[in-house]
Amino acid sequence: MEFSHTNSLHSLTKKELEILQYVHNHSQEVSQMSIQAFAKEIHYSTSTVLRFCRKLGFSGFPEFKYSLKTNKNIENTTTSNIQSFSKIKSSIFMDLDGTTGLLNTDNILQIANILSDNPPIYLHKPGGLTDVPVNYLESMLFLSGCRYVQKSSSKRLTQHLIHTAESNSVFIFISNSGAYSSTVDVAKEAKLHGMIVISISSIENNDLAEVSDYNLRLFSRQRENVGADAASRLSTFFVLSSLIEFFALYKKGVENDENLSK
Amino acid sequence: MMKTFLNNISYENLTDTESVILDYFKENVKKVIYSSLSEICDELYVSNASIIRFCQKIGFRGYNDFKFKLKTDLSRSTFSSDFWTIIPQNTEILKDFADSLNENQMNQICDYILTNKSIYIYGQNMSSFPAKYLYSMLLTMDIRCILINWHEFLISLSSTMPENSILILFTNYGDKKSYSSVIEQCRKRNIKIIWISSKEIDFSLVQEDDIYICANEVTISTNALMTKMTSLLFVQIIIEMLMQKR
Repeated sequence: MEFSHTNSLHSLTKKELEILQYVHNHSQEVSQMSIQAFAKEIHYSTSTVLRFCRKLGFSGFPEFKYSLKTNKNIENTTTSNIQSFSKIKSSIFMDLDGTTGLLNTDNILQIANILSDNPPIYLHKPGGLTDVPVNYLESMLFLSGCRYVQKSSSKRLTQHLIHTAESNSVFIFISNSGAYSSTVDVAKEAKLHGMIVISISSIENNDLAEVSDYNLRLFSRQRENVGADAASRLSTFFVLSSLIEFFALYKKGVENDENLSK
Repeated sequence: MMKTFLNNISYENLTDTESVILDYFKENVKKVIYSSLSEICDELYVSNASIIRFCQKIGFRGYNDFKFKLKTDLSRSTFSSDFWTIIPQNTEILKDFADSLNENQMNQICDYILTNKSIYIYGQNMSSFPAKYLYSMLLTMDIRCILINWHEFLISLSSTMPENSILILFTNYGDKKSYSSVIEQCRKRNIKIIWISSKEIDFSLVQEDDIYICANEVTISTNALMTKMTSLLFVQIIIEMLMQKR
């Protein structure tokens, strides 16, 4: 699906984001459905669907479906090697563009504002592929001047840290789906103990986003290879690198201001 | 404190509460532009209505109208304008990089990975992230490989790698001193080297048979931070191609 109206993604409600993720995962099926069938499938009313289409800049469901179909046709004709290469690229950028549209600069600025006070920062490593982005974030935070960054690689250690950390410490959780139960559990616990909870998770309605004070969303498709998680983490890296870049700029801006006021 | 239109407002016609609000806005310009009305009320212990009245008094329709003006005012100063353009700009950089990739070369890399039994992936410091990401992904796809993120380790392994292995090297700029001995060893054993560097590397390091990809990494303006996003994108494209070919 094309996100030519990425700016309007900001204004989507939780419900609508859910619909978007559904379409993202099932574009082929959706392009064959009637609005009634589609609404039934996702358990929302037809008017919600209609509002959703309008927000994305379409006149209604038929036009929305048409745009899905034309995109699909492009995909279908790509059987040869040359085209499959560009198909791969366009599918990667579909996720990145979607994520770009979801990144709310206000949210990132608020997080940058919190980080610039140099609070103790705790990162939770859930194990598996997500550990790579967590380690990445740790290095980037240190490199951009954060002094107190701690990383825990077990649920029990994170729980221990939550109980012993001073209140208003920052806990950052990353989960591609936002539904990984051990991460959600510790995030809830951190929230209960008065910590500032920041999370990075999928645009789908997810528990992790619910319990967080600040949440950055991304587009992802779940993918497995016989039980092993193989979902792309590129969007996660993209969100993290954007956050760090904002943070660097923010600090520069604050320093400039201080110099000016002197 | 940043200079905005707030600095031109005179206190003469303002009530005490309104003066407090004005002072607060002036001192916290950057915080205000991303705070909601209720957040400011909590902070200042004043009612919604007082703030809205204040905004109307200084010539706006309401708080959001005021905030919008403040935002546009701020974006004229150079630093804030960067904020709003940074993400789309980064996406463009990534697209340019993806378009610059040579498809035949990418296919060749995939074929090497799929047909070779001994795959070594190397990267240290920031380069360890794309290396680790590729390694973890290959493992979940049942492609066995070995991750090296320690230079001494690379040096010692380079003399024991089986003949015709592939070595995928993620590096920032390919320091000649640290790589020349490794490469010498690899050449003796006919090991295929795939370079992915952030910056152009010394060409005397790259041999004709090698595959060389320069990721043209952009540094974050404020310091020497590199996000490695282009290298990570390269990894992702390779992974997607492998998924299809399998």
